Amino acid sequence: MRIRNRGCWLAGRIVWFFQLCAMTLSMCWRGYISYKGWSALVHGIGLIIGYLGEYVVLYTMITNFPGVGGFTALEICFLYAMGLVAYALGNLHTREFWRMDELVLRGKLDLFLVRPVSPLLQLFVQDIQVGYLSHLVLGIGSMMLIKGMIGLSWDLAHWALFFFSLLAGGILMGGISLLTTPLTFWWGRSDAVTRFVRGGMRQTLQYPVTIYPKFIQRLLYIIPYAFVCYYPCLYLLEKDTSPLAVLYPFYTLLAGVITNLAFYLFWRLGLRRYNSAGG
Amino acid sequence: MIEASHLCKNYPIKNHNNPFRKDRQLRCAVDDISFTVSPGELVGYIGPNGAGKSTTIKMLTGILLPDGGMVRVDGIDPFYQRKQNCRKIGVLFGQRSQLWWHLRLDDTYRLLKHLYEIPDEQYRKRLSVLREMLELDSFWDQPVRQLSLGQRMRGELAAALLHSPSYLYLDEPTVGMDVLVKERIRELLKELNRQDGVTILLTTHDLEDVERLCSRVMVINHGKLLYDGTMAQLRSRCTADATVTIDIQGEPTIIDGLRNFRQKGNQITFSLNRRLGEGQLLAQIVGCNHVRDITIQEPPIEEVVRDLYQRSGEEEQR
Repeated sequence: MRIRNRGCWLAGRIVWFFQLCAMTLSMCWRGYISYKGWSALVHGIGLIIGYLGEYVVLYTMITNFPGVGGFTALEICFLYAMGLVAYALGNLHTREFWRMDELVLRGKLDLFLVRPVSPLLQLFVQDIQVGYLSHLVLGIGSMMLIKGMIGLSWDLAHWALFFFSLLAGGILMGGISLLTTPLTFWWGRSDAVTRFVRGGMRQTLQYPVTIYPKFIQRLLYIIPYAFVCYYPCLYLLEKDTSPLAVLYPFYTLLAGVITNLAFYLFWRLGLRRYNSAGG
Repeated sequence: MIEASHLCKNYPIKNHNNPFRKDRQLRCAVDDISFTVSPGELVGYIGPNGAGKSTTIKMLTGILLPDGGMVRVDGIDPFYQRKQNCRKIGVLFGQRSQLWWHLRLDDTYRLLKHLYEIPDEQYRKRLSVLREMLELDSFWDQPVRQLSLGQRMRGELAAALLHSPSYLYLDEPTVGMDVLVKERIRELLKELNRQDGVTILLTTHDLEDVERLCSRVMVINHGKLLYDGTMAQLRSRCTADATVTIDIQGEPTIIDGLRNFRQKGNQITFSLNRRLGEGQLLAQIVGCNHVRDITIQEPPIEEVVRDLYQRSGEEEQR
């Protein structure tokens, strides 16, 4: 009975959360179109051109790239597409944290701290990036295509673990994207470090970890990019045929949980140092 | 009940000549402040720029963690028991808006309804009360960015009150408003305090706010609490002069020792300071003249507070 009550409560919370997301999404959208009809259109065109760019990169790689680190060109493309999906999934909710300095130095965080909902949760839903869902379609579509071209035949376990890996990769990528943002509480800014971790190091996703020099490999385990798609791909692309390979997608989830937890604790610690702004 | 005891907050100052040096200098923004606010009180918290008003409010609301001392609101620690505390308090920052800029007021309110999980029926009732009280109907359909400052502040106030908080913290609610709008906001706050029994703590630069609104006033400067009591007592502690004007029938008889003495026909004016024992003079002059009318003008509140600030500065130098 008690467990059932708990279950009902949890279900209620989840419904509440998705309603909240729907609300802020609709508010963002209406605010966005309310006064800049033309620029919204231009922005949309820009996004489409950006995504076409991703296609061009993929195509160029498939046609010109000999492959590296034991991965063929097609398999590299699979890695690349998987990285794209993980990045898109993991950054649906992180937009507000790109402006951490505004939140912390200008004291905008104050408003989120006087409401009876975790400030983190409020920041997550404040500016949800629906645009990234198109990355998702693009990425998963490409992966399906590449899978056919490589000629892999997956059983049910592979399919299940494929979607599991995407989700786990998204969770991990989200954690990595947020991990360094609480530095703002100490330094006043963190955008340079965050841009390096979220943007610069992200480029490493598209190649097998083994091709990098040793110290960079170590870095990829500390900031666990290695687990975002390299490890799941070892299993999904049947690069590692030992029976233990089936565990690799779970490594991703584990790394994701640890990274997010680290971010959470780091955030909590930072909040104690929060000084707001103004006298 | 809001309890603050021995509150302290320090801000680190960066060494601007060499940002890498680690000699941590601290600026004390709030220094050992203690007070309690009982339910139903309307308290004004005043002080010059940078005195520590906002810092105190931010510690009371759980935004900042005090470096020393403790805060309890109905026995709850606002920083560590944030969610519990936030259900009971409403906060309005005069300089920071929680309304969604491009949307109508209604949109923000519905979001807040969801965040505070206010039941439908209660929300409908509360909103109609607030709409009437704050007269929001005239600009209900406009996006927030088109509202005037006074209208927007009424909107902000409604947002802060939507979940029927029992404590309301206002950080400079009348900043930048014209006289009429200020008056309107004051009326509303009074009404809230009287009718709904909301406990209100407000910071302000505008001493008129305090004089018109508050039963109790706290004065802070350089992070220290200088005064905590009623307005009348604050005046009586003041060393500034009152101005006495007396209408006299016939030719006035003048006595020695009157400061700033002026005569205009049958009317005489002079300064009087009770703390210097000058009340005697008034008795004397009334005794030897046929008085038609007396007015004693107390020093303006600005003067009283300036006097208090000055004395605190002198004490610090000593």
